[in-house]
Amino acid sequence: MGTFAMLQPSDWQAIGLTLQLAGVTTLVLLLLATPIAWWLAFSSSRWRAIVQAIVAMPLVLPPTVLGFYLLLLLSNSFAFTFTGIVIGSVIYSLPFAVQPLHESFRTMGRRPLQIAASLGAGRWDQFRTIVLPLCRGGFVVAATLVFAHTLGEFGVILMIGGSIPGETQVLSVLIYDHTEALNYRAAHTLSLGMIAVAMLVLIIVYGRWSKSPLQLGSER
Amino acid sequence: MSLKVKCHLPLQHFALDVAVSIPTQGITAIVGPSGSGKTTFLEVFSGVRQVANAEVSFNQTLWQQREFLPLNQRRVGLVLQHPSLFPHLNVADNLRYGWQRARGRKELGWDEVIAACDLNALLQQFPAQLSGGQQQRVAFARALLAQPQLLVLDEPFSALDDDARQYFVSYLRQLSEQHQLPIIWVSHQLSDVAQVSDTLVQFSQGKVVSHGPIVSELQREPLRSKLALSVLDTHYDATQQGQEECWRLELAGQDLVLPKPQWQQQQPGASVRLRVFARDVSLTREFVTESSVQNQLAAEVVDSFTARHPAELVVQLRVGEQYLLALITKASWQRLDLRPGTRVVAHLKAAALHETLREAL
Repeated sequence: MGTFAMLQPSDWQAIGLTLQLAGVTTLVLLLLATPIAWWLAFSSSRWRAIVQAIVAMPLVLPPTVLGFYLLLLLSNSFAFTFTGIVIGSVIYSLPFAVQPLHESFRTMGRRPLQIAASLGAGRWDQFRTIVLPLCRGGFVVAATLVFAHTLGEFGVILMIGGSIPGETQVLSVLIYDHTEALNYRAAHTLSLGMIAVAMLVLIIVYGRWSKSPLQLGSER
Repeated sequence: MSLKVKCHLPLQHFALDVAVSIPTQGITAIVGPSGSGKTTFLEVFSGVRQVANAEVSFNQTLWQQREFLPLNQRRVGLVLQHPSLFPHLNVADNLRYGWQRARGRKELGWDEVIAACDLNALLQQFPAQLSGGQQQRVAFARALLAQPQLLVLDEPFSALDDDARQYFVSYLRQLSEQHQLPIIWVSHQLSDVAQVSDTLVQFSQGKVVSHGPIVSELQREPLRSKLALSVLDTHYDATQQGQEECWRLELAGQDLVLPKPQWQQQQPGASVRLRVFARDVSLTREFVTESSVQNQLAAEVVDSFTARHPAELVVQLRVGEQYLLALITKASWQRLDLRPGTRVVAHLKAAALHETLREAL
């Protein structure tokens, strides 16, 4: 039993892995959620409700259900690998990326894009000069929420990744392992650290969330 | 040279069903009651909304048939009722947005447009700091600076006060004539657009019910008896001007005198279009000397029609080659013993004349 607050190399490894997972997941999700949120905000397809339901599914399902099916699906390929837990995290945090983006695209509406088009801006030009600045708030909130949510992820990772140090053993899993081994001091240190980080992230998010995306856009 | 539009689009209560050819010279007004499909029509032909099976061509260029030419390649200047300024850009950057993306020679100059729309003091402001009218002025200037080949307006001056609106209406005329910029203007206020438009397209329930030159459309039903407005084209004679604050205008060899609007500079040889409501015109059989009404025109009765009120008549008069409408009671018609062919004198209250300067062509 180590003395108070001295982190072991394996703890540092888990912290690094967790940050790496959260970073990669955030990046992948921003790229993936933007077109989905765009389609949800502007399509009049009758499939919208169904797609919206699928996107929101991870909010209501127990992570074990998601993890279980992912395990079956990935058992021959990415199960128990870093890529596997990235896939799990991406699906698990999808609603946290799609919803703020959906909301900010809807608030912006089509009009600014139509006007920009009439002034000669092509699609990519519109995205760069109108969508990104006007929906900056939505992107910031989506990224922060996904990052924070992935830090706190446990069930899905345990189901499809297990607890392989340096590969799938992230902080939440390590805390679980420490607790199982009655290593309460180490569990305490890591847990308190996570509480502090979560608190900080949420304060930042809610600080921004209280302003509408359009107001965020007009900040100079 | 024209804008040809053919489309069929089911809407909530009726279908937009249009096949029309609009001249791309001068100003065309599209009028109709709210919810008659004008704005949807505008969105379809300008390319804001992509509708299946629509066909649009602009001066021999196909905008939509099998292929759909995206809005950003059409060079259509859009000014909508809601100004839709980009909130994250200041006025100067809003204006620069289209200006920087316009290729080729710039027909409309930066300084000229900024000055015409009186925006110099606002350039560093952000849209949220501007009033509704100021925002509309910026939106209008922004569309012009993008060097459009067609200017499309949808109630663009609704937040401006009367003086400013008058000013912009005459500026539209100037744009149309000095820069050969075709303008299509959607409005539910026919009296607003009547004075500057060359062509009138009337919408009802998603269909074009009538279209043609404004001067003749105003003389046809239902506008003739419902709106009872006529336009008179007159000449401004620079050599004849006497008093500072009045204009002397010539119409079919007769003189009209009216207060000079402050916002117009005098252009010798210019023609001036007057818009006269029938209710501001009264009739006598002879010229009257002792009257506060100083504009009297010899005219001939052409015809008469029942007005909105059953006790009143709209009398159609001919002054030279032009038509003028007067609103009188049926009792007066009988008392003056009027019939088609009767020679009368039409009295126009100068204060009731609303005018626009038309540049000499």
